[in-house]
Amino acid sequence: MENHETILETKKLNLFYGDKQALIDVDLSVYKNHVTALIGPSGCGKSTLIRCFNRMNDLVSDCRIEGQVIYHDQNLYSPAVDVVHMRKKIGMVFQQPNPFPKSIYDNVAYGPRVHGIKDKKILDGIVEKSLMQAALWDEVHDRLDDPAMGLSGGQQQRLCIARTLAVEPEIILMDEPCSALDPIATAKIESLIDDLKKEYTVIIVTHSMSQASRVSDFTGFMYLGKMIEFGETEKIFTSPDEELTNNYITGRFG
Amino acid sequence: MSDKFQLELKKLKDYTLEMGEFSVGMFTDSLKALKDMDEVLAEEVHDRKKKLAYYSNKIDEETLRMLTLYQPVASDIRLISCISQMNTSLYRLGRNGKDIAQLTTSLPNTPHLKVFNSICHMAEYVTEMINDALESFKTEDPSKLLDLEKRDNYVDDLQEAIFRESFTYMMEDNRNISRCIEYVMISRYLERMGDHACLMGEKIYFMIEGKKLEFH
Repeated sequence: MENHETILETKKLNLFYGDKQALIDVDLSVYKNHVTALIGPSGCGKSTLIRCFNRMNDLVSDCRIEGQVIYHDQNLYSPAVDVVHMRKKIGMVFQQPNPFPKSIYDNVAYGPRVHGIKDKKILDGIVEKSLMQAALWDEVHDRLDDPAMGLSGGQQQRLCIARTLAVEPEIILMDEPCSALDPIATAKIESLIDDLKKEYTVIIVTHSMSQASRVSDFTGFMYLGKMIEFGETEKIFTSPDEELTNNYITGRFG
Repeated sequence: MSDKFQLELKKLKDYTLEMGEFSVGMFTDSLKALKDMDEVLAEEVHDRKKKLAYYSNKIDEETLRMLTLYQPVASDIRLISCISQMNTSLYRLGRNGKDIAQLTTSLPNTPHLKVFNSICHMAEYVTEMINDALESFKTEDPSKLLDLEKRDNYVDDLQEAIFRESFTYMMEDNRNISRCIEYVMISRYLERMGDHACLMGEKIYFMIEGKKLEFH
């Protein structure tokens, strides 16, 4: 792990929802151009943690955060951070595919337009490139003006990934991106994740341990708000150091 | 995973131990038959090969089934991978017992030479190594595995000594040749069994500790 470049790092991250502490002293290094999976039973804090990475928790009124999330030598929670710009660099894909009720083209072009790109030619280029990268282009290139809502669940999810890619992020956060999809759509997204890491860094929260073991290079196991163990995926799934990790991934609890 | 899986895993582990006992039995009985020149026992050991194959096939099927149905990870996959290696080694052990039994019935019944004492010592020594491996597998206490490499080196030395001694006997009197060839072959079987004790030991250690221990 020493040889990998860290792109995002948490230091003693603590998070409270009112009185309830959801993250406890989480230290995590996310390595560039790798896929990091976060696993753990429901309520362990994995979704809370991934939401800290682009400050989605800002929207929760009684949420309080201590510690740091370092991205490019800057604490994401420092007042100097431009949240809109940061979210362009750290994009997110959610559990339920949530395309805008617009055309396929407009879904992908939405982000670049918000960021000021108006030239049709440039937008066309971005839309094509993003859809290609999201492995959706071949299926939709002849009907870009069709409503996005007409796509299948798996296609909608890839459209959401394309929409994220369109603003050229560095990091893509995925919160259970396949749990609403069938096995074939899931396999497509998984193989897409593998392609994406050439250019991007992916952090994925998943309930499926076999998915974590298939797609990720590093895995963090969380339990009751703590990062119990973090390491190379192969190591975590063959010989984890912690008894608790072993018991969770072998299904003895959780 | 489910209790059902853990229960099945426990059953498979017990079944592997049962096969271990059966294979060791074939091995030690074949040597007993050889020592006592007991052809009836030798025949009986020889016939146990069918049951041995049944054990081995059953374990093969079970490991494959459990891998397919449950996709085990961590300590569970380490146990299954260990059982798979043990199946190979224990099958070999039983088959060697069959081969030794076969030698007993097929070769002329001349009295044993003095070098046979070394064969008996070597056989006991190797059997103990295998039993220690099986014991560690059963109790998940790795302490008896740690010196397997040292013990295997001793087994290699024994084989060489038996070979040299047998060679001397053969040069001395050509009527010793058939017995001595038998000894040379058996010492080779025994040496291989020492290696299998080590192979099993490595896998059992990994199963217990999650760390590699390599014997050379």
